[in-house]
Formats: sequence, structure tokens, C-alpha cells
Amino acid sequence: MSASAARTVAAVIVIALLVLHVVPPHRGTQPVVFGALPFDLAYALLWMAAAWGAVLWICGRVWPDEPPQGGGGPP
Amino acid sequence: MNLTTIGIVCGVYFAIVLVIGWLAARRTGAGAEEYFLGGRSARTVVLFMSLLGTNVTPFVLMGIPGLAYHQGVGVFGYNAAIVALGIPLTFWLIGDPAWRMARRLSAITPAELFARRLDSAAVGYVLFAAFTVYTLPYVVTSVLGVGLAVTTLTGDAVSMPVAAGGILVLTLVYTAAGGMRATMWTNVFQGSVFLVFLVLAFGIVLAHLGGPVAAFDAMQAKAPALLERGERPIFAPGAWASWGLTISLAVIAFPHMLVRIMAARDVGSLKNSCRLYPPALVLVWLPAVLLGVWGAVEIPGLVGKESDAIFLRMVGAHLSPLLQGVALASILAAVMSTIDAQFLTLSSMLGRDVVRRLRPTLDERSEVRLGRIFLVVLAAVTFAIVMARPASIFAIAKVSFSGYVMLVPTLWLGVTWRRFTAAGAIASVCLGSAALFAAMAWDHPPWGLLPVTWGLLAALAAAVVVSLRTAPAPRDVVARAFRDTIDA
Repeated sequence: MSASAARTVAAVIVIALLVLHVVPPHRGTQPVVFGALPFDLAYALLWMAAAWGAVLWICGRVWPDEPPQGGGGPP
Repeated sequence: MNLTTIGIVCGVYFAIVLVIGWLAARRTGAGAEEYFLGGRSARTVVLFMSLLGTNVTPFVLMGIPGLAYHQGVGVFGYNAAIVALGIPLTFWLIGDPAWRMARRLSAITPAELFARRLDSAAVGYVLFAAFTVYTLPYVVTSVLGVGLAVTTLTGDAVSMPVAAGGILVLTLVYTAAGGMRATMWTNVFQGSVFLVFLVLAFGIVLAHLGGPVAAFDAMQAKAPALLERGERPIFAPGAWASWGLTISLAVIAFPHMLVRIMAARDVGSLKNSCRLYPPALVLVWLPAVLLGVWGAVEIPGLVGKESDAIFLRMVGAHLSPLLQGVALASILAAVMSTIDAQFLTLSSMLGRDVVRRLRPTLDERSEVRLGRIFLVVLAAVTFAIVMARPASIFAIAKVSFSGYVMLVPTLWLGVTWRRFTAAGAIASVCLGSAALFAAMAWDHPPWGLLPVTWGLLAALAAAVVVSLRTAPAPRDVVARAFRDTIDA
């Protein structure tokens, strides 16, 4: 995957995570997960796990050790 | 309660911190870069622990349990979840280019970095003023937390003024002696103390409650509303999104965090710190939120800012005197690991970005001495505000964090956009802050968005519009700032 494609994928993942953070799925009628975990807490933990995965991928594949020469164009 | 045991544990903790500070002071060479940036030599463990230590304050250990006491488990998603993504992203998009640019420009403070990048002393003055105004309330929350912790755990045997004054003096001693290296080394120890303690306390309290299922059943029976986000105003979509924006963006704008990023040895250390951040946040925030919610079931009836003490009340109810001592030591650790960095950063900016600009002949030794005097002044101002205790920890921190967000457009555009100008930076900081405080004075900002959102939009618009209408820094200054020649 090219560097620009990787950055595009990273942007899509981040936007998806932000949407899922602001607009969580409806909790339905199940107030508890695994017998002791409130749904809203379980959802936040699951979201964090997904965010951690995204961070690991970005650090490994998207964030370069050395930026391209002449960086600093318009954001 | 056994005051002797608590006192001995805290005494041992203080002794270890002072020894580490003394060892670091012996390793710290002469010169401003050594004193204020530790020679830019922080590797992964030291960098990560100092970033985390700086990031975890009584806001997390006391303010968040206090908020969860009233608002329930939704507080975890409201605060912790979004920063697991926001902090690494801002470290990548702003921290990494700032680290590179600081090396190219030999900048030691955040204000100096942007003053040199934009070729404007005025930018340094404005950033110094803004960083100071928004950092002082944050320092106050930390010292306030210590005062509450000590008075609660000792049953008022040690008063608030003694506790607040004592922590300020002790922090001043090792910070003034060893500079950045001392603060980073002690942060490794301090971060370990509060991480281990939080996990241990969480496990012990959970066991006392009969395990996860019994704890959940008790909550469902006595305080079922705390088990869900529900229809609470702070969790409404506009407020939820605005606060997520605030808490995600504020951290990179803490001058004490940015300067630690500038102290990194290489980009690999910074990336590793980002990899470690999300799981560390779970270890810190999950116990903080659940101890607050469990506290609402066990000790109901606390009103308003009284709930700031719920973490300590749970500690007092469930832990032995020895562990109560460790609890106090862990809060002291969280506080000292933050205010040492805050004081050091502000004092370095006063010396380099204000006094040295006004008196260019000032030598580095005088600059460091002046920084130490400013440390004492900051501590005295903090003490005076703490004694007034204007609001709850969470409420004070909210103002501080919102203010920091007003600086983010300048930090981001300053390290990524060649066309960004000094006038754009000054307009962004000033108009953003003005819009923030105007929105705070407005009872019902539009669409349920918090004041920080309107301030951020104003700061961003001012930065872009004014930059496009004013002349950028000279070509050679911009070229030097953006030239990518530093080995990562």
C-alpha cells in the first residue's frame, strides 16, 4: 500500500471511530454484558480496543520514521 | 486510622523521590538545553512514563470518581475512550513535526519554537501569556487534590494549608535542583506508584464487594440510573462531541506535554509511547470511574464538589492503613509528576521567551537562576488560589482544558503550513480565547455545543483568514523550519 493510500485508509478509520464514539448503536434491551458489565461501559471498552488497533496500525504503517523531503505544505 | 503508618509510607515515598531527583541533578550538565530539556535524550520508558505521569492528575484520581459518583459509568466513555485515540493522533500530527522543528531551530520551549518558526517575538509573548493563564487553574486542581487527600485520609490532623504548602515546597526542591531530567526520572517512579496502586485498590475493593456480579447487582438495586448514560445533559450528543473534542485536543497543547515531546531522543520513542497509551488509560480510568460509581452505592448523599473525596472515602473504608499511606503517596505522585513539569515549563518560557528577548545579553546561568525564582512565584500564586478553592476539581479543569484547545490551531498550523503567519497566530489565540469566554457567559450556546467548540472555530477561522491576508515569515526562516534533515 502506498503512503498516500495508507493515510487515506487511516483517515477513514479515524472518522469511522469518531462517528461510532459520538453516535453509539442503540443499546436495545440488554442492560448488561457478561453478567456484570453495563452495556455503555462494555461499548466504551470495545471502542477503545478498536482505537488501540488503529493506533498500532498507524504507528507501524502510516507514521514514517522519516517524513518526505520538503514536507510542510498546506494542511 | 493509623496516622503513623500513613506518615511513614509517605516519608519513604518522599525520600525516594528526593534521592532520584538528587541523582538526576548530578547527571544534569550546565546550560539551558540540559536543564530544561534533559539534553533531548528521553527514550521510550522514561518518555512514556513522564507523559503518562504528567497526564494523570487529581483530575483523574479525584475529579473523575467525583463526576462518576453523580453521572455513572457513562463518564468512562465521556472521557477515557476518546483520548485513547485523540492523544496518539495529536502526538503524530502535531507532536512529531514539532519535535523535528524544535531540533532544527534549537528551540527549548514551545513558545520559543513558534516564535522562531514565525520570526516574531510577539508570538512568544502571547503564547507565554496564554500558556500561563490556562496552566495555573490546572496546577490549582492538582494542589487542591493533595489538600483534599491529606485532610480526608488524616481526618483533618493535617490541614489544607500545610498539605498544599508542603507539596509545593517539596516539588520546588527537586525541580529547581535537577530540571527536566529530575522531573522525568522521578515521573517513572511516580507513574509506577499510582498505576500499581490503582490496580491493587480496584482489585481489593472489588473483592470486598463480593466480585463483579455482586457489585453490579448492588448497583442495579440501589442506583440503577448510574449503570447507563441515560438522558443526562452532559451526555447529550452536542455536549458529548464537544467534550470529546476538548479532552482529545487539550493534551497536546499542555506546554508541559509538548516540551516532553521535544525532549524525546527519537521518533521511535514517541511512537512507542503512543502504542502504550491506550491500554495504560484503561488501567487508570476504569478503576477511577468504577470506584466513583461504587462509592455512590456505599456512601450516598454527597452533594456537588463533596464527591471529589469519594475516591479517598472508598480507600479509607476498604484499605489497610499501610495501603491508605500508599494511596496518599500515589496521589502525591500524580500531583508532583504534573506540577513539576508545569512549573519547569512555565519558568523556562519566562526566561527564554520574555526576559531573554528583552535582555538579549542575559547569559544561560542567569536565565536558569531567573527560572528558579519564577518557580517560587508560581508556587506562591498557586497556593493563594488553592486557599480560595473556587470550584470543584472537574469544573476548574474544564475551564483550563477548554482554554488550551484555543492554542491548537496555532500549534498545528505552525508546524504544518508554510503560509501560516505571526499575525495569524496572535489573532487565533486572542480571538479564540475571546470567543470561548463569550460563549461561556452565554447560558445556552447554539445546538447544545459547549463553548469550547465556538472558541475553536473562531481560533481556526482567525488563523486562516489573517494568515492569508498578512505576509509570512522570510523565506529563509520558513525553509530552515521545514527542512527535513533530522535523522529519526
